[in-house]
Amino acid sequence: MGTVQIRQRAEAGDTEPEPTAVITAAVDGDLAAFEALYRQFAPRIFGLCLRLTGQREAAEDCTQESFVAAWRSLARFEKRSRFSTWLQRIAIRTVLSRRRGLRFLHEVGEPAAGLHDVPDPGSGAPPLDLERAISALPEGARHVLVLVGIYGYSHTEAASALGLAEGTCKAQLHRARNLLSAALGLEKS
Amino acid sequence: MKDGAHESLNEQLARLSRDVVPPEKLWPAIVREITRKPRRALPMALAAAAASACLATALTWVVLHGRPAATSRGPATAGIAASFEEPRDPGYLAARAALQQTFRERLALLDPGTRTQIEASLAVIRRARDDIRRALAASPESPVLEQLLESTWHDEFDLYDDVVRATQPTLART
Repeated sequence: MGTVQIRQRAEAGDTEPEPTAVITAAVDGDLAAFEALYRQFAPRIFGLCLRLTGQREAAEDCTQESFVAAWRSLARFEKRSRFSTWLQRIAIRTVLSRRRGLRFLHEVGEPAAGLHDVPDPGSGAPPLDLERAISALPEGARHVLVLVGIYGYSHTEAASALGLAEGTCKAQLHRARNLLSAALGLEKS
Repeated sequence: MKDGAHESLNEQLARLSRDVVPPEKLWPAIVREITRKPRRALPMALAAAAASACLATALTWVVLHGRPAATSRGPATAGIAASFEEPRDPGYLAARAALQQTFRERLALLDPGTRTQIEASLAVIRRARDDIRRALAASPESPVLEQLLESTWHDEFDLYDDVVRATQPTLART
């Protein structure tokens, strides 16, 4: 299945060595070290928040809240997991916490707002139609598609991160794929 | 859903960059926040309960009065909402059936009072869906009714999920 190809790509990007000395310094309260970590990891966290929320302003808020929460929780960071993974879990929790309070507003708002200038350094033409279609997905389907389809999570990982049953995760991915294919006109291909 | 469509979609998803550079203003804002006293967390459970109550009230009002309020939607949303009904492809149906099966098994583990309440909630969701479908038949262009129809699938999934998770105490959550 195509998910395998996406996962391989995602995992390849996550095998870069982590800056353990910088992480240790940040855990010890070194703000300059934490800024270095921010510079390295913020694009991934912002991208994740942007896709999960579908709204640029909300993504900025969530990214900010995630790094603030990370700073306050650094003492509890266990180096058994990767720092990038730990950060992403914080970001996902932040998005979910925020959405629980604002769910109704999000569902009736314009979901594509703020995504017009998302860069796409990986290819020549920015796939804005795809970005807009993703941002317009129903929230539950969007969350699963973003984690599994773009960020390479397994269903087990995504279900755990989103607080879902694995069956829900799989059903939502199917739903997201169907809706996206319909929105992009891929069903006829 | 055809395999070719999945392939094409996977290729498009694979071309998306996972990194997006945040605006420069974020780091100074983070520094300001982490160098001052922590604020108390918002009572999210209360906020969620209030939001749910608002949604239920809005749903009841719209369905009973059939007067949807105006709402703004982007073109991409319109395309998706217009095509929204539950997918019919075998993969989706199999996943949904598996989830429902787990839900039914876990439901049987609950005490009779709780089980009755959950079954009543499920019946409310399904009745609301039927009502909205009937309203949509009369007003097929109503974006609010489309949103509400979609939200009933969301609510049903949430209910299944809540029961499955609540009866799975060993599930690791961080």
